[in-house]
Amino acid sequence: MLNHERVTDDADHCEIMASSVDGAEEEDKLKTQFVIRDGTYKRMTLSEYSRPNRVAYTTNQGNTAVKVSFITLPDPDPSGYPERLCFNTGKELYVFVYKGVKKAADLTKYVDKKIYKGTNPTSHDFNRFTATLDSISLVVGFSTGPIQLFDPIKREEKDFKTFNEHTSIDKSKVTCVRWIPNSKNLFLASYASGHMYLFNQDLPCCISTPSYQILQSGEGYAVYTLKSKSPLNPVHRWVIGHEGSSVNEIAFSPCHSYLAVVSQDGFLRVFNYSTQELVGRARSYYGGFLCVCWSPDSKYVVVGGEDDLITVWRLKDRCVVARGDGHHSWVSVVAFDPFSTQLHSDEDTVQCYRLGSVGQDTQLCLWDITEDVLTQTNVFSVRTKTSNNNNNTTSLNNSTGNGTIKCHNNSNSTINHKDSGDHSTSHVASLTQRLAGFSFGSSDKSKSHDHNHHNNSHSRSSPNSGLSLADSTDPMRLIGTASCPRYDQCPRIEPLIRKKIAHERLTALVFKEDCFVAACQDGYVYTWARPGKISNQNSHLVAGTGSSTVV
Amino acid sequence: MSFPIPFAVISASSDTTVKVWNAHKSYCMSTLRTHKDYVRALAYAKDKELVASAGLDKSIFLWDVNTLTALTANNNTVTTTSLPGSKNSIYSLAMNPAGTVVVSGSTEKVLRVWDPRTCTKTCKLLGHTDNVKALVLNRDGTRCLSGSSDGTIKLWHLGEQQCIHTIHVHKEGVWALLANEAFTHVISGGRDRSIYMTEMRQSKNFALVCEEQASILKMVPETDFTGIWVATANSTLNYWKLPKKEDLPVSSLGADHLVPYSETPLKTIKGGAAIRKQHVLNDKRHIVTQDSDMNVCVYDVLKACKVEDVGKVNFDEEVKKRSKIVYVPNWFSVDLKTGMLTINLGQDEIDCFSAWVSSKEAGLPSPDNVDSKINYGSLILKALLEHWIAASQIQDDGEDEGSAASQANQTPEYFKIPGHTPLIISEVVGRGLYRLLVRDAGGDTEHHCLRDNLPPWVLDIIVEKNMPKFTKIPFYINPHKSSNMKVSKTDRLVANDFLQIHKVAEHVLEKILGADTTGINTGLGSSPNEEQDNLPAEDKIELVCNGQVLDPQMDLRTVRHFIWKQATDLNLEFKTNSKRT
Amino acid sequence: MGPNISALEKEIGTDRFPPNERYFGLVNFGNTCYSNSVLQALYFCKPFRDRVLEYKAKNKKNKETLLSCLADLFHNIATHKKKVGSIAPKKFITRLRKEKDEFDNYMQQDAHEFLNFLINHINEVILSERPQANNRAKLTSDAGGGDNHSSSGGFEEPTWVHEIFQGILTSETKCLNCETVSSKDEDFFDLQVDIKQNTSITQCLRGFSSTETLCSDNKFKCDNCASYQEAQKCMKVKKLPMILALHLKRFKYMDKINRHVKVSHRVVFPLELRLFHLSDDAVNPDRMYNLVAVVIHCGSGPNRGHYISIVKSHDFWLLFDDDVVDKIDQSTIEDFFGLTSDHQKSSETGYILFYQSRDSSDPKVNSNDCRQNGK
Repeated sequence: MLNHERVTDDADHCEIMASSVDGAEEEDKLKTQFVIRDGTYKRMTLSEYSRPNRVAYTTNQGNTAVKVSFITLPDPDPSGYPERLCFNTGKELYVFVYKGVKKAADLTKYVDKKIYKGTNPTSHDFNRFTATLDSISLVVGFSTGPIQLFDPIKREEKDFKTFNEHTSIDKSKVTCVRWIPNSKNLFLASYASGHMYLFNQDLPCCISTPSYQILQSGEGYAVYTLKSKSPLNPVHRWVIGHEGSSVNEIAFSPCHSYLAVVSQDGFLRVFNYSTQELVGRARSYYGGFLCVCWSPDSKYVVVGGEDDLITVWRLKDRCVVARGDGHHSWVSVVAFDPFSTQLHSDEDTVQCYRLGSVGQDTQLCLWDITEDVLTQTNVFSVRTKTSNNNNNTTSLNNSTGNGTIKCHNNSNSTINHKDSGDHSTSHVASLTQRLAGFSFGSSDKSKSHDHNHHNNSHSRSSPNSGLSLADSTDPMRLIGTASCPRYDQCPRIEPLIRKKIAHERLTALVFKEDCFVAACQDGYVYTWARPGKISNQNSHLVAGTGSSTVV
Repeated sequence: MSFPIPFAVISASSDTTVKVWNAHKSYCMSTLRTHKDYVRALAYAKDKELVASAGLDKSIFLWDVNTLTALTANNNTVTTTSLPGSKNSIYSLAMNPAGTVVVSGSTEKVLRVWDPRTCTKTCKLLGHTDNVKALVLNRDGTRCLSGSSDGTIKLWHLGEQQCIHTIHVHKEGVWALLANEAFTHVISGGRDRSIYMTEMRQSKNFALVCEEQASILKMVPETDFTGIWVATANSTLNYWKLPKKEDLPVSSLGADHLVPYSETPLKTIKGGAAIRKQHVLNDKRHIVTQDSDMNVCVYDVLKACKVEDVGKVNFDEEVKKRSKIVYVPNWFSVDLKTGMLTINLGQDEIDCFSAWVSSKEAGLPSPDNVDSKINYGSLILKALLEHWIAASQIQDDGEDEGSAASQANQTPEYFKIPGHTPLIISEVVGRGLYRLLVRDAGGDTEHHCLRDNLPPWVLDIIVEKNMPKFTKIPFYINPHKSSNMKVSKTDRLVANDFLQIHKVAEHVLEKILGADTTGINTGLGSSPNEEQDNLPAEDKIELVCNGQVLDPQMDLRTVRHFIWKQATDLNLEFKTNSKRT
Repeated sequence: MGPNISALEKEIGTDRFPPNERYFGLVNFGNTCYSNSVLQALYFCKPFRDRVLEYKAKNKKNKETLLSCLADLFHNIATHKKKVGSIAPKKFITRLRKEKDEFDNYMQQDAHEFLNFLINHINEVILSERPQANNRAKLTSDAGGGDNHSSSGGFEEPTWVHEIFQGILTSETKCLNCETVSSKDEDFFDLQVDIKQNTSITQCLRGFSSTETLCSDNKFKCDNCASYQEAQKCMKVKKLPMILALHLKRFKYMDKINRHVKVSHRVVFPLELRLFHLSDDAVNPDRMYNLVAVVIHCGSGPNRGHYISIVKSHDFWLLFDDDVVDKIDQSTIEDFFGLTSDHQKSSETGYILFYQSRDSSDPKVNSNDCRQNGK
């Protein structure tokens, strides 16, 4: 029953608002440094970039995430500052000379600044292939659909180009723009409509509503070319998932062959870009996937999503191999740290991928994905309470034939040692799983074609699943398969650290050689120095003792 | 839990103490009371003669063994250093022989590493997803093996602070680990009762060593690693043969389930059966028990011994068979922590003096008075401290000529208790202060220790020879609605809880009706028949409770517990004995 | 189509307007938005609506109950001649005020309290209208005292209210010594969730089932170990309901000022949801939910405030603000997550989330259900 008293309003009201309702716990305090096995990472408070005149942040300001893009110009001068940083905040876009850990940021001296009306910039990318010391090409997508291309260094009118200006191609928000690797003039733009378009900067745009003809299609996607007498933009159109399922991010593999696409329908789809064929996919535990990145060796894809998890997917066998549980809210950005990654194991050390993620929980997580997590073979079986059909022998006999243990199961049974009635464990380490633990290498798995097609609603899988299953966008059919293991079916890892590093949700994360950069929705771009990168020259850039909180 | 060195054994217990024993002469040399909660793990650095203890109080203490084994009654101080920083209850500990590295496992799931030479933190190892109950370090402290309740075994590289390898061979928590000197093979056991031997870096090379009868708690290897002694939740120790490293993997892969390397152990040391179930009968004196061999026995608390071996019968039926309608208040509590009956006497939640019973019921000879009452708590204390009392009386005898008078106050003889019964005095349940055997209570040191440690309520009874208080029950008596009797006032009465119904009937006759005889038809008939007057009260008056006529021999507390059964005050009703009409 | 096509119909598109659907706002009788918002949310929980309409069709009783008033209201909406408009739920509100004293006024009430009352009350009405219940009532009154009869004990057949809303939580206690798990079940119709700043609903639910450690002086008496040991206790979901109603605890009582304040913490909630940390013997662990409705509280405190609701109908979202109905963009939902700072006084925040199981319309999967749920 609610209190009916007529209490005096504002005076008390302000008092309540000022004090925090849940007492401030250690976890809730903002951190400006942390220690992990690499050493101490410290935030360089003087190396912070933002719009020059800082304004107070209100929660629903624009709602477009603050993204960052970097480019390193080919500068022969070793004492120069060859890096350029671009970020968007609200209706504005800035390009600065990025001085990293070496020198303080001078917010008054920007390379370029743009203020837009009626639309917000949402995504941007520099063309690495064509960058020179005097000229760079920046493509920017907007919340209302148009895309712009310009040179922030030269800033010449003639270089200024607009695509989809009148939104005849697509009326929804641009979610991501990416230059095709090693291309002078081609870039890809993904939209909230679930469509992606390939643009050629040298071609004019289609003026009226475009019509398309199909070029290629597959499970849950289709590629079209523009029906037009002369070459116009868009060159290609990709339709990903069902209508209205926003493509949230796209990423090319470092080897340039593959394109990873994550959507609001909860799917990661990886394409061979040149053949436009779907190579494999993964499904979120629930909710949409929000971000994606590739490992430096192009072997793994990591995604983050609305299930608060990071999910690691291996290209070779198209399997989800691990999940990371650490964030307290949606994961906005995942990024591999190639500088802290050990790709090969030797006598003393193990293979270990270092990964970072930031989320709407205002926290940064760092993860070590080690060899022992990645080499664990998973069996995707149905979780049952009793094992009725003991088809144990059948599947094992099949497997010893060609020496591989496959990731598959028989109808509803689990090869299960669990005593009936013994519910005390959550690890159903079935015999198959145990034997699979030492299966003779994982290279033969892709040859297994022993699919069991059953007409029940329970899962079935093989490493190549996804391409042959009927009704395969249904998450209820995918749960328990390689594309979407059950929560206890695949290794769960915890972060090395989880620290609150901002007051508002984090929207960008980039790892660089001597630091990493994170951006926050309130329009700040932070630089964190790696261990050992702070010397006499730059120690003044670190937060003073007054304002920092040691972990 | 123990770790052997030439003649000393050091043990850690849930009684929060760490004890140093002289194994050859089987006595406890000293007791360390620094921990404030159960001590769960010990670790030993042979080269440094250093022992570390850790437990649920989140603390780790380091002890110098030589100092510990040199402790005597006069030289009984020992300094300890602690390893700081644990945030959770510690369940496992490991230290390398050189004493340069200490690792602890706890419910924090993260392993913590220290350097015991400087007592500083080295690092933390992340990876397990549940409690860590087993740890092993290699000789130089560069590698560590951990076994967790998450079912996995992890091999760690301490320098790199990373997990090098994870072994998934168990289905349930891993509680015990052993590694060979070269640190190439691990032997593991846990809740799933299976013991595996696995090659660390090639976990496909493994063997199911054996399957035990109960969860595996600890394993100790033969020096040449040909076999292992295994301690489980059962009291039997088994010695199992280990396969040779070269022979791994063992077990046919095609089978439905793995065949263990050995079906039966090479050697066995059988332990005694542990009592697993107990039920205190309503007489609050006898306890029916069932042990791990399914044998049912009956114990007598007052005699502190077993009185009957019933055999392999159904426990619940046996309890039912022996249950009587009698109510005696709870005066002790029982626990089976040790596998034997431990009787706790105290003055906190359960008052050990609350059981007053008629000596007849107790089966004790009553000197003169038929109705004499004895107090079970008082009785047993006297029996337990018999030797101490005797020794004290020899001392006091010189002063006290009134021993005859004191004897007159004595209650009837108690039951004798076996001399080997251990008696433990504690401040807090579970943390013993002083322990001795009943037969030794008269010894010199024991005598003084007892005087210092016995709680005041014990001394009150034994030394001061006071009587414990009686327990009172309030109740109301009213005429039964079927009778026409009327009385003037119904007061709330109070009486001792062991008062029998026939006494209440007497009271009714004398006090209630006797007071109102004038002018009131008592329904007893007006003839002043002498014969009638000499009849016992219960033949004239019946007492009823909740519609049930009460047996005159029953006492008030039994009536309240079994017949009244309500929280409000007991209500009795009286009427003329129907037999009379 | 007639000449007067409403703005809403135009927005949805006359060709895309779902054929059997009606979108009617509810008139506010003076702070009755707490009821309006919840009723709209429930109307768009299809399984619930279908059952209520079924009740109306099958029960021709004369006796008026809150359930019969609700059924009449739903029926009026569902069979209305027009596709859009507004209705005055007068009979329902009048009945509501009779049934519960606390609602018998013109004050703003708490929407969750209303939901809780409504669900439980409907359940009781159904139970009391069952034929066996009437017989039993007669018998006990003749026997004269004796046992008290419980209306919904374990022996009662579950009602459709149970089928739709009831889930089971199990409290699991694991002894850290022998690792034996003992559990105790309890039912729920909805889950009360404590919220923290900058989290997701999943994270808040985790807090709900967080582990409590029994240790130190508060150890657990383990029967298997025959001694006191440390233990970990946590709540897990054992049975997921068809409709999962999550109540965000946005009103906290502050001792210092002796009243409730509104906690506007930003808590994100996805359109699709699956629960973590289910018990090992969970009945339907893979159950996937879709968000179908959200009751939103607007304002700065429990007493001054307003309730609206957003619902999903077919594949678009609508906003119901008492008698006003608008179509909204799916992205608008983000506006109702909450505020990251306390500087703003007033907020519009998600308050009760209704997640409906994906398989709720599949009769095979619902083992409780012996009737077909019409789609």
